[in-house]
Amino acid sequence: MIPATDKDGFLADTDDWNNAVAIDLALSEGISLTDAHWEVINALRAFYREFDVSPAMRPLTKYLKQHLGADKATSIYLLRLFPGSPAKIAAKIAGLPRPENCL
Amino acid sequence: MARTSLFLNQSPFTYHSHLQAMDYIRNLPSTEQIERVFFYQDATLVGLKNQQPVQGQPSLAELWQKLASERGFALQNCIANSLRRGIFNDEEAKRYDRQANLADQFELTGLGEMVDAVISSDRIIQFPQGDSALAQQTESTDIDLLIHIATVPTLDLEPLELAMACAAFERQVALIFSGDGLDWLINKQEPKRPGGKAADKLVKALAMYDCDQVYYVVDEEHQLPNATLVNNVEEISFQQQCELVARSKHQLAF
Repeated sequence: MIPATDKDGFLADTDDWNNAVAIDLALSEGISLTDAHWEVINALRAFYREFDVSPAMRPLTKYLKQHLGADKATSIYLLRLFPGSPAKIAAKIAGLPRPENCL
Repeated sequence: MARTSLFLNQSPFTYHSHLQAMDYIRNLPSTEQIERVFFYQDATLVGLKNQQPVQGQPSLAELWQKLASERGFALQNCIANSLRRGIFNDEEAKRYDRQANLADQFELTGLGEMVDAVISSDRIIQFPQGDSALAQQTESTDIDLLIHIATVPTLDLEPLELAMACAAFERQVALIFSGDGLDWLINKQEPKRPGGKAADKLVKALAMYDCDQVYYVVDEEHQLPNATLVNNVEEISFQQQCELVARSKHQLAF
């Protein structure tokens, strides 16, 4: 059961997020979450706690390199996990605010 | 032919900077190409459609539209800054269930347009023009954009969003904080907007954007706040600040 979202599928209230919601948000994107996905989702949420911003691709990969290692910090690795637009789709599943249009 | 972009960030209803920018454009030889006028922060308010000035007076939007038609340049409103202030084009109005109210000829664009200005414009001129406009550049510049912040953090921290957008596109961005701008650097501060972003967290995030040239300058009138500062900033002297200015292709001030 997915709580209220905006027209692009981002949670209307980020406080509604929990693990079960993440699983459903992922399914709505056609993704079944594995441990590899969760590592990235947890790192994204930690990034947001630390910096108050949903990261674009470049800062996200830099952060993953520091926390998960270089082999899990490439664009190709993230594209396999979150096909299409990894930073945006992973942010949606992780329950972060929509990355703003400017960034 | 030199290519020029203009950048405005003050409210058209409070300051003269829009009129000064228009005068600048009128006095520019027709051989000079204006690539865009980019409106940021409160300057986006000039794109409101339903301005009703006193009878007989043109609205600021009308003056911009006329000049843009004559000289052939784009009127670009930062999209995120516009939406926060209630300015919507048709597409965004549909997305957020609002009414469109953007004046004709104005467009909502991302900060990518400013990244493009940093890359391809020979100069970016900000209005109001600061002292830095007079600074001498060295022959080769290794910093693409120098952002000087001398005002307290705004609710939405828009000066830093500009820095992060340019850094995300692999531009070399340097920042100098001074005067009232030193408040951005106080560690563990509260967000100004309820549920909003804290200035110090965004300053720390610059490191994730490979933006490692973050400096501050103190002078006699503006000593450091009596607090711990974020740890990714470095103090420089006024002389070093001048050297940074000389190494920078473009500069913006807040």
